[in-house]
Amino acid sequence: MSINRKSQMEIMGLAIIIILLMLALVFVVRFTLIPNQNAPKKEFSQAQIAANTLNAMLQTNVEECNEATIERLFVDCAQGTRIIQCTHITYGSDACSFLFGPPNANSFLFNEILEPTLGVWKIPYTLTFNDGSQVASDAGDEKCSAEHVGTVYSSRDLKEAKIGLGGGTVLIVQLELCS
Amino acid sequence: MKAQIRMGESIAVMVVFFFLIVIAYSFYVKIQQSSLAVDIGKAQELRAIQLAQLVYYMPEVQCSSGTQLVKESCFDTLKLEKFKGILAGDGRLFYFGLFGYNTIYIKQVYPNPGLQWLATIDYDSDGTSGADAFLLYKREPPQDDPIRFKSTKVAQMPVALYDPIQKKYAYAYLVVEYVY
Repeated sequence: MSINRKSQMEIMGLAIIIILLMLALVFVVRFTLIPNQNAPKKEFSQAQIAANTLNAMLQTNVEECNEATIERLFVDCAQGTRIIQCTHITYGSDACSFLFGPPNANSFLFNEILEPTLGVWKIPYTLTFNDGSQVASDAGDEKCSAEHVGTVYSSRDLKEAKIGLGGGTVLIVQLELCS
Repeated sequence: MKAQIRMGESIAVMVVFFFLIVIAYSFYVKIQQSSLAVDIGKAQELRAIQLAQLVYYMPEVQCSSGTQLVKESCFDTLKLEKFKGILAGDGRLFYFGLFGYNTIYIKQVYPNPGLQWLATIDYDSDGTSGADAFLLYKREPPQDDPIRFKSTKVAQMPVALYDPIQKKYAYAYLVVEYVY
C-alpha cells in the first residue's frame, strides 16, 4: 500500500514538472517564434519614404546645371546627348558623371540628395538607373538589394519612377530601401 | 521523528516550489512591462507617421498648377507662408485639434538654404527646429504636467519645395516631432 502511495506521489511530481516545462515552452514560443506584429507599419512608412524621395528628387532643380531638373539630367544621361553642362568643382560636367560620378566616388546624388536624408536617417538604400549601369548606394558594407534580404536585411521596399522619352521608350529609376 | 522529517521535506519542497513560482511571475511581469513599453513606443511612432501624412497631404500646402489640382510630394512656399500665418492667427484653435502639442517644420537639403535660393520662404534661425528650417507649427506642452509629454518621436518625409514666383524646386524634408 505504502509503495503504491509513494509511486503515486512520484508520478504527481513528474506531472508537475512536465506541466512546468510545457509552460516554459509556451513562453519561449510566445516571445521568440511569433513574428513581430508591427512590421507592416514600418514597411508602410518606408515604402512611402521611397516613393516620396523619388518624386521630390526628380522635380528638384539643380543650380549648377543651368537649373535643369534632376529628371532632365537623367534623360540627358540616358540619351547621352550631353546637352546639359554642369559647373561644379567636385562633380563631373556631363549629366551622368555629375549625378553618379565615377565608380566608388562621391557624386551629386550621393552627397546632396540621398546622404543628407536617407543616410542621416540610417536607412540603407540603393538607387539604380540605366539597367543597373549607374548606381548610387549608401556607404554600408552590404548593398541594399534583393539578394541580401533575409540575411543582412529583414525587409526591402522597391519604388520605381518611369520617365517617358517618346517613341515608346521609358526610363526607369529604381530606389530600394532596406531595414 | 520520521513523520517530522517527512513534514519538513514537504515544507521545503513547497517553499522551493512557491519560490520558483514567484521568480517565474516576476519574470513574466518584467517581460510584459518591457513589451508594453515597446508597444506604446510603436503606437506613438505610428501616430507621428499619421501626423506627418496628415500634413503631407494637406491641400493647404500642396502644390497645384492649372488643371492639376494636386502635385505629389510637393509644398508650395507661398502657401506655406500663408498657412503659417493662419496657424498663428485665426486657425489657431482649429488646427490645434489636428496638430496638438507637436512641432512641424521643413528642412531644406538642396540647394543649401543659406543661399536663399527660394525667395518666397523665410527660414528661422532661432535654432528651435534646427538651423535654417522653416518652422510651420509649434505648441509647447504644459509645463505643470510632469507625467505626460516626456518623450518625442520624429517622423520625416522627403518633399520638394516649389517657389511659384521663380518657378524653381528645392529638395527638402518634412519633420514632425510628436510629443507624448
